[in-house]
Amino acid sequence: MKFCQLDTVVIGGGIVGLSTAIGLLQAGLEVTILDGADSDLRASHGNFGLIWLQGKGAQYGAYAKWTSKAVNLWPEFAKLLNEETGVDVSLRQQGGYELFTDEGEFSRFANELSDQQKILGADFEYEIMNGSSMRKKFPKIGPGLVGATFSPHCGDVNPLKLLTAMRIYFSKLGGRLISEFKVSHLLPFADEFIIKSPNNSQIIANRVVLCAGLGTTELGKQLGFKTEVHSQRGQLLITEKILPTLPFTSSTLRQVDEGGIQVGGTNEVVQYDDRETVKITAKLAHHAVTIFPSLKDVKIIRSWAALRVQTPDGYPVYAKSPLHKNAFLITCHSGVTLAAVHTDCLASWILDKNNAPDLGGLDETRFAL
Amino acid sequence: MKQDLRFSRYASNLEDISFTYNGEKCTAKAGDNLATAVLAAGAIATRITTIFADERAPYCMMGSCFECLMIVNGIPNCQTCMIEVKNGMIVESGFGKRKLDLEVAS
Ligand SMILES: Cc1cc2nc3c(=O)[nH]c(=O)nc-3n(C[C@H](O)[C@H](O)[C@H](O)COP(=O)(O)OP(=O)(O)OC[C@H]3O[C@@H](n4cnc5c(N)ncnc54)[C@H](O)[C@@H]3O)c2cc1C
Ligand code: FES
Repeated sequence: MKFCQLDTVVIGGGIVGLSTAIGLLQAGLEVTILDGADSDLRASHGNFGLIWLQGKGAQYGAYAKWTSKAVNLWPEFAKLLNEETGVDVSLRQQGGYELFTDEGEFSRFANELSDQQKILGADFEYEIMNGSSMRKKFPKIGPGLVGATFSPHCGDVNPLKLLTAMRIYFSKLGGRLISEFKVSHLLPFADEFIIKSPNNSQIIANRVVLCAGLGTTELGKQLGFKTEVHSQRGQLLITEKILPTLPFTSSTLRQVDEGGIQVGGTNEVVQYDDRETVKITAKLAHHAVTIFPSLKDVKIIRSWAALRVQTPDGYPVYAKSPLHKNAFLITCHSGVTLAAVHTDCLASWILDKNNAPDLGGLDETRFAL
Repeated sequence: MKQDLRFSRYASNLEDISFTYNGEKCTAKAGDNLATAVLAAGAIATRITTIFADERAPYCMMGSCFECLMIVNGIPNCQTCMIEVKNGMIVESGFGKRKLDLEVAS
């Protein structure tokens, strides 16, 4: 049996674990990430790459404000990653559209943005446009678009370059990543934690931060956390590479920096099944040609699905264990958008610093019976 | 174009096909795979990559690597290993990203 004594251990090496770990390294801690198996379901490897504020937390002020803070931090965060790693994550934050082909959905979303405006005030700008004014502005849009909303705070990144950049930066700051370490047991012992994997490796840590995506519920229970996450499948398509042509970024259609046009935005509640289906991929293709009919001859070269990590109410959870000092649980749905604020603020919250953000509205007491 | 000596054909009484590759007349047999026909006609690099502009040629011959992309009858990015050669086909080497206009009214 192998033993190893470590200071801070982050469990999970996806975007959430990496952004948290980077913040802790910047704060001067010694950090090790234990990341599970390559066969794990990993949202960070299959997402759409949006940096998005529209609609986020329209009914929940704490989330709206936290997301607003994140989008404002993004330009600086992308610059830092580029300087430190040489990887350009291709941040484009010139605003983004939500595109609607259904009147009911359009008016519901417009109402949500007005609620979000009440929460964020001057920190939130948006516009509502009907189909014909969109067609006037973008003449190649088809007759099926009934309306759109626009917010200048939104944008996108290349999510795989983001993951690469964060891994490089994490190592550069002295972080250690142990992959293929699937934690099965987390045992509090005195003020420390014994971390075990099925192949009998054992680690003793002073501090554990759970960022295990869909593995969070199982591990959390062992430390007295109540948060339960579930999966929600999203499917995506990407076209052949095209010279830059899509005139904007939207939450369902965006052109990635390398040229492909990505189509996404579906939601299905399924268990742990990350296969794509013909029914949904056909729906995505249909949406794309409804918005831009001239996409009809463009080839789709790949389709895939990935599982979102969802909390019961869809808002993030930042929780300190009720039983054990130095045990933390972090999980959220929009880990790409929030990466900037996670890197910037979570270390001070974990370390109880004076400048720690107030995350009271986002702890797990809201799930208590 | 000169037939490439990397390929030798089993005796075949199938119909002769002619097509052009980058403007040059080439011959093949009915039923030939288009990527093979282009290689057999002597081509070396059949496309350049979209990002780094490296030269590439058909590789897996089974539809998964996307190295065999060429322009067939004016349609860019065709996977030629998945297409049968036809009489009169106009084939050009792949040149990078497709052009498409989503901005200006037509
Ligand atoms: C289709 C789709 C589109 C999306 N689009 C966007 C978007 O546009 N913008 C946005 O902001 N967000 C988007 N998201 C959400 C975003 O991708 C996720 O919020 C984010 O990737 C979650 O990161 P994570 O680190 O929590 O989870 P994951 O990436 O799932 O990582 C969890 C990690 O924990 C490890 N792990 C699990 N169990 C254990 C264990 N027992 N021991 C050790 N390690 C373990 C796994 O191996 C994995 O590496 C999208 C998600 C999907 C699925
Ligand atoms: S040669 Fe690989 S896809 Fe055609």
